[in-house]
Amino acid sequence: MLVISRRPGEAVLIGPGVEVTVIDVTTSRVRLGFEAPVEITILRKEIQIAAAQNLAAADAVSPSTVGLLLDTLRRREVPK
Amino acid sequence: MGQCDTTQFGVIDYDEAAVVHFPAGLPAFEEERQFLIVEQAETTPVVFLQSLVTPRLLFLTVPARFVDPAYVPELTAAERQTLGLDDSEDIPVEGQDLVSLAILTVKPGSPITANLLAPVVIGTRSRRAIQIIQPGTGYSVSHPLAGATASCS
Repeated sequence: MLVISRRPGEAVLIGPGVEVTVIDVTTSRVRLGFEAPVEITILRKEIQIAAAQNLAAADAVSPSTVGLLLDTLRRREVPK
Repeated sequence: MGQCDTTQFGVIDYDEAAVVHFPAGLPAFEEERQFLIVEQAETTPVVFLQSLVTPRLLFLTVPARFVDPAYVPELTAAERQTLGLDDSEDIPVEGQDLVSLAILTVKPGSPITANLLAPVVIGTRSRRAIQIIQPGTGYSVSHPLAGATASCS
């Protein structure tokens, strides 16, 4: 992984059309500004992770997995 | 009343009050704006989120507090507004002003997991919903449902 130190107001360039500027830095947060061609999608990574999990969750649903879920929850409620 | 064709439950009759609107859809399902909440006494605590337009699209969920009794969603001002909570200065109350649902992933042979990183939050009065993302909370998209391993029989 390439690591570059930048101060607020400084930027990095990625390829011919993407510029990422550090707007502001606090102890727990960095605000970034992006300039990029419209065809480049910029997403928080968590949204991609959530999308993949939603697809996995929806794909796995079937009568048998619904039955499995209900059986498992019933067993879970039985005091040990 | 309306009728909804579903793969899992066949054709079901529903009341408009059971419909929730996702103004932005859900990640990977951005065009899915309307879901039906299906709750049955015999399947508690599972809350089924059934697409109104795609019969085979069903999410299995449980209240986030079923997975973690201390669960509190952190909402931005924009999210509160979308959920219809902007008029209130008070902190929205889980189970009263809003309901947070964790989408489950159930696969044979794997532990059942709940997505606490990105819960579905429903404004109970507006009937609008968002799948919010909670980075920085330490929750993951595949939080194990304690004691729930689907492989044992």
